Amino acid sequence: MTVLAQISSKIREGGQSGFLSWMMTIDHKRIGVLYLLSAAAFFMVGGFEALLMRIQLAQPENKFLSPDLYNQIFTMHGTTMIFLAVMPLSAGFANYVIPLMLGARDMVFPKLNALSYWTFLFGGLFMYSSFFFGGAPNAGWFSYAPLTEKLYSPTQGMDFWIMGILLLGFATTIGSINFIVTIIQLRARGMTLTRLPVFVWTMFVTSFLAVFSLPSLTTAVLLLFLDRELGAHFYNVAQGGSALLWQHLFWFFGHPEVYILILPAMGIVSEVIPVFSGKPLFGYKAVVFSAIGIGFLGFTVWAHHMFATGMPSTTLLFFAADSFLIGVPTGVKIFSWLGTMWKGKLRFDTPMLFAVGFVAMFLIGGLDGIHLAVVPVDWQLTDTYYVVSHLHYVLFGGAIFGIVSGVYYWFPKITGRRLQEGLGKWHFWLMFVGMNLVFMPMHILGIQGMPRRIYTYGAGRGWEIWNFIETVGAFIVAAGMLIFIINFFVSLRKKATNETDPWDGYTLEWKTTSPPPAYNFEKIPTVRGLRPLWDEKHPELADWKAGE
Amino acid sequence: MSILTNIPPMNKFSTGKVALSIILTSESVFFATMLVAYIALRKQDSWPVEHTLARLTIPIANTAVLLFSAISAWCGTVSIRDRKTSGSQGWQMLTLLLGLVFVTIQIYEFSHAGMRINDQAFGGVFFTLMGFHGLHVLAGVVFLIINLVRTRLGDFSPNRYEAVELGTWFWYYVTAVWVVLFGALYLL
Amino acid sequence: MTDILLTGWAWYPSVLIGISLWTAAYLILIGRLRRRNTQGEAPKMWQQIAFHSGTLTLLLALISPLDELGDEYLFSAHMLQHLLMMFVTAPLWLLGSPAGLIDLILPKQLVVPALWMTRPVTAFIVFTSVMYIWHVPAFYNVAQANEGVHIFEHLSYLGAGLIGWWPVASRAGAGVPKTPAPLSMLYLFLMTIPCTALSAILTFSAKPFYASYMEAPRMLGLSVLEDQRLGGLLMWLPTHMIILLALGITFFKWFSGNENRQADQTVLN
Repeated sequence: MTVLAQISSKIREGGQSGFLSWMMTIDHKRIGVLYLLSAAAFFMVGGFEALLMRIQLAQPENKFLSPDLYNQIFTMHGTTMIFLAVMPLSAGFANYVIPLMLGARDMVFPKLNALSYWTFLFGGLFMYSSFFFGGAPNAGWFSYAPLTEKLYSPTQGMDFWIMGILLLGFATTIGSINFIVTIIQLRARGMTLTRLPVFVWTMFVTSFLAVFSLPSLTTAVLLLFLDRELGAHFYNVAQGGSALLWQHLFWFFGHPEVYILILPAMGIVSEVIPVFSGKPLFGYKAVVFSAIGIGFLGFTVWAHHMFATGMPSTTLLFFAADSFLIGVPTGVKIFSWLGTMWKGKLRFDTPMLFAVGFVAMFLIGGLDGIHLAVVPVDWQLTDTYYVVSHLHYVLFGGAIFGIVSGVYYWFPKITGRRLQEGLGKWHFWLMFVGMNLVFMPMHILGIQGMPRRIYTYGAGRGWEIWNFIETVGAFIVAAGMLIFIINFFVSLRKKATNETDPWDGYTLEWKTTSPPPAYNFEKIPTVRGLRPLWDEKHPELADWKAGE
Repeated sequence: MSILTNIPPMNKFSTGKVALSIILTSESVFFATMLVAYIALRKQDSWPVEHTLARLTIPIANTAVLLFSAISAWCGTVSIRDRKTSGSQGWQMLTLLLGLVFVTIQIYEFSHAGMRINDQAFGGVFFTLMGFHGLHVLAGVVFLIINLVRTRLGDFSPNRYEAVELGTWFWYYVTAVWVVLFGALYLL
Repeated sequence: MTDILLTGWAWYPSVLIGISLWTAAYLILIGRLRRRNTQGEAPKMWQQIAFHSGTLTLLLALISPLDELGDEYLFSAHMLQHLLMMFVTAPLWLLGSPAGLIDLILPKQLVVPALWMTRPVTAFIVFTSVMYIWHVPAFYNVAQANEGVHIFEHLSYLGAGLIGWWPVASRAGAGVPKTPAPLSMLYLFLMTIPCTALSAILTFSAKPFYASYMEAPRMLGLSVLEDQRLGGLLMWLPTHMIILLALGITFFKWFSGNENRQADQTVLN
């Protein structure tokens, strides 16, 4: 055979293993793994960027990073963590787990699923290539106009950011459509929407948030691109444009985005806590409705990111009130998780440690948010390190802890082996202690007036000690991550135990083998309650017998 | 999708229709944010008072073209349902032709609008909104072509014509968006 | 301001007659249904109360000082009046109507087009279009200036409200299945998007839109722009709260309903 013929026949074969089969896969499990691995790699890069910043800030008037490089790094850190780490990690788990939880054989549009992943990967790499083409974007992850206009950002970094965002937005949109249609169409018999596992519900709501908020971001960056490259004047005040327009368009996306970031992790935690408490989730209906409520209200509060732009009092009042309101459904969830743990048979394996850590950290971050909703307080604290503290408590202590909980929880299903418990506990405690060392003092720094996004600060303000402690904390977190990486490889090296149901779980993914076959289930299960696997394992105690 | 067909779906909506409905709703938010940007910019102090879209004959003609094409698209779908496949081809061809007429007129309008995308804010708004609408029309034209070819090849039957329905829905959408844009850009 | 609150009550004959006729028609309909009493079509007590509350709200909106405040002085007052019509009266009327209402009151030929009008997509388009068209300054100013057009405007708000809330609040199309709960919830959420867009424009605008308020005497110490802003905010938060309430009711009814039992039946068979 000619070389070409050999190549094409190899491609046609596909095969179950080998590099090519992974490149061409449309199996949701493999795509899920690809998402998880790529996102983990981006997370490490983002973490590395954080360490660079912390080194620079450890001492006043440091010269480790130049101002422009620092700007590029904090921009890429934020963009990476949000778009290239947390979102694809959530998508990865959603891809892997949701069809299994639904009792389906794959997503409803498998090829579109693959397109979604490869577009994401390309978008991320494209954005990072900017470092080699004149510099990365450097205007912060929310890229306010007019700083981002050609006049003030003449290098190409912003254009890379814009194109990257468009690609990532496309990937997320089609991915979300895939989730929505799959959840609507491919549930096992007996699994009504009212019996959906909470993780599926949160991904359902997240997907709707994505398809309805991303268009606003698309418009915002598109108009910016037209301004920059075709000389349009959307954000150029002198020619009829408006700088505030950017902020409105961006934050109309930006606020639902933060719920896109946190809801999947809340879903994961809502799966883990009941299993490790030996009880069903307390207040299932309330938890589901609060997810919907958070999504609904999330579209109404965007201007609380703009309190300092000169809005008049009545407007400030309405947005502040609405922002308080949105704390209520979150509170409902926290009570539900605590209620689930109450009088449960608690097992503190690593997934549970991270889940409980999530609840504690998210509570702190959420309360920070409530503080910021008080307008006069916000006027003092906006754009200071108080906000940095808030966002990291909810996104790192929240989203990342929740996702890591999912990693430990589902690792056995994906690989057929458990991650080592001993190393896992080290990982948790190092991350927990380290994280608080980094972000707790930022409350103080914020109140003392240290602004965000400054590459250095003068000596003698009393900021040095806290910055130094934070840098130490950052390295403790890094040590924790290192232990995780070691754990990952060590555990993979061990012989597979292929436990189907290592945690005594409730949902359908634990019914099939670890890892599952390509077709997921030999026979599609039928469902009669909220905890289908529990019902099968304990027919005398089945939920539907008790009358759910 | 052979591995997926062993479970009947839990509701009566077809997968394609569910997916398209969500896509179109998302696209609507996209157009809506741009329209809001337009209205917001209009109220800025520096909005140019006069703009050059004084002639309405062309956009009115285009509106008529699209409205008729929506009707012919509907006829095309109904014909397949009623087993009149050759009639359907005729209607679909008409829809396609009207769509292409629309695109041609739009290109003319763009080149004779008397402003550029970078003239002032209205120029940017006009071309962006109309441009993206035009891209959607082109996508719709492609969809129509594929459907027409498949109709000719006998792919559809009175029980199986979902693709034609979806193409028609998309075409209704493109028409509806045009009506809104026409009102907002030419009449306001 | 206080003198308006005391003397601003306007007992418009057209309004009083119209509302009396409307209420009478409803009571006659109830009476007829109770006499027939097939399958308990007659609305229950809470539904009748809902209906009358809607009527009372409309009456107050039209004859109380709110009307004069809205017409002559304050955009925000006028907004409140219209919101009461579209977001309070209309859904309450629908909740209070009997099942199969359309078949009862419309001739056979109009039933199908009427039902078509109330399908989610068309209803949404009607609701949004009416709301938006009346906010275009040219049309708004005409309605302010011309009493006939103003009455037509109010009737169109009521009509659009009824149509807009139909997919989620009514049981009134016999033979047409009720909108499934998840779709109702999505519909309710989508209803808020045009409201948000319009309220954002009104709230964040740097310039006033409507001529008649620019020339009106100032009230409550509100400038033209502050008044417009307040109107925009009223269109925003209260409507969202009403829709959130509707969302919650729909959700909890859905989750406590028969769906699981029906699904179990199909599974066991």
